[in-house]
Amino acid sequence: MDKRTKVYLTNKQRGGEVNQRGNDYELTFACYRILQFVVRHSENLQRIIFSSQCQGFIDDLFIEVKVPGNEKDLFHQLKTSQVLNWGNGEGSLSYDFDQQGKMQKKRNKPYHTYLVVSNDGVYLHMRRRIPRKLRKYVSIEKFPWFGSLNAHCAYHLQFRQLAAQLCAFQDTDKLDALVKCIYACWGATDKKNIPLSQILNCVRGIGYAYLKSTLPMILRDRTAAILQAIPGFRFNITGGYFYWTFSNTDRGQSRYLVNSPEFRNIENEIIAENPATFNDLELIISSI
Amino acid sequence: MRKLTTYAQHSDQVRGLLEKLIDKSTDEQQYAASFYELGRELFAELLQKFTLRNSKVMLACSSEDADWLSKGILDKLNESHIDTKLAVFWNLRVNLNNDANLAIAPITKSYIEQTDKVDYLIICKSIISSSCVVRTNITYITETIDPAKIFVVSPVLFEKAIPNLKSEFPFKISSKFEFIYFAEDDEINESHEVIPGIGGSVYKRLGLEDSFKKNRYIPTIVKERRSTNFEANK
Repeated sequence: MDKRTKVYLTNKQRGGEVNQRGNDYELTFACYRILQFVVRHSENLQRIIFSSQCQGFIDDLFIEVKVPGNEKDLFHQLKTSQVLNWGNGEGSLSYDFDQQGKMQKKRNKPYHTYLVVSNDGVYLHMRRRIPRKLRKYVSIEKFPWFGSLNAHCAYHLQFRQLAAQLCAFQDTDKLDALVKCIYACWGATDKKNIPLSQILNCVRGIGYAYLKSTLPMILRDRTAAILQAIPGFRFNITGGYFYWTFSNTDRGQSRYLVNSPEFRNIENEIIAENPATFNDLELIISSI
Repeated sequence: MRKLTTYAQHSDQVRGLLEKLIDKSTDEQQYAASFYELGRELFAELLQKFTLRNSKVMLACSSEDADWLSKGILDKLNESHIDTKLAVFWNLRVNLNNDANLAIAPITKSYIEQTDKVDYLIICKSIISSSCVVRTNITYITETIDPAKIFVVSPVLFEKAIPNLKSEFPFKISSKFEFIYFAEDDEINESHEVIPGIGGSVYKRLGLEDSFKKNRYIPTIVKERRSTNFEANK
């Protein structure tokens, strides 16, 4: 391979990596907004509609809020660049935001637009230099990029706190499972007019999400009596899930809600086997 | 294409054990025994490079590795009179949407011996490919303990495993990683298995069936040590 071809290939690979990063960033940010809106509007999930790459000038993520008395359109443009400018004229960010604003004014519906950036310097620069005509309806938001969705879950405090509000358990592995389920469910749609209720139903259906339930749930009396008699074994119901500890070494939890058929089957097995020690019980609860 | 480390290149024993894993005619007992011996060899290499004398060590693994690879390391730690605590995790390993980039490995159950201090964490795994299980377990442990070094120990790694794993952690954690391994492979098949790797799915080769059914297996080293711990804490 000659020098020129090598340079071309390097640039092509770099371009691919940048595209991949941009794609991962968009999906991770969509997850973040999904978490925010599920926390804020848990009673109105069918009235929050997510779309991506919709028709418009600001098109990375579009959220239509149809909650009565709070209807609005929210547009997001995402940038992971290390250098960014508002620019002038067609094709510039300034032009795109201006055109989106003009379109929305004609629709006579409340709206807001967001420029979401990952870089600290870009964030400060774009805030300082925002054109006067855009100031009323454009916000600059910083959403850092931690390199992967896993890292966001573990180390992005705001992201983690949001996930923790929806997850029955606060361990990173459970938060990671919940967020990945949201990511997978959103990623599996065509991303056109998807109500949050559809995403949450999909997440529940996957069965590894540890999505917190607010419904009161209890074990059957007989199950509770058997478990209470086992030396060193403690248990409770956390966010709808069975959580247990044994001695100071063992702990675990079910991935099924206590009121689910799967967990009821486990209860049936506990009642039928009537374990007297943790060693006897462990085989039964290891499959949940 | 497989690349052997210098240690493996100079050891007939290690190369023979790696070949046994690949060989489909190796039965369950021989397969498990090979992992046990590889655990001993991996720890011998670790000791050639680092001194663990007078230190407190935590050895962490997944349940399916506990009685073989991990036991080999644990026996060598005991023979070296190193104060060791054991942590075993039952991970539920799933690729969401059948996409390896959407791998999760939530911990459904854990056995962790209590300690006030850990100088070195040794985390072992039969093979490290996507790093999902290892990443999950290191994250879990390092949220409560702060070891000076984290030894990631495995007979076989996929070629991108080291940079992939490092990229998942902030520098203050990834800078503690030391990788001890014997072979690096660069091929993956449609079932997301490294080729030649460890000769297929470790669950199936050990007779533990799949990612779900293997979680019903309670390792003997857990049963033995838990019993001692429980009696001591009574």
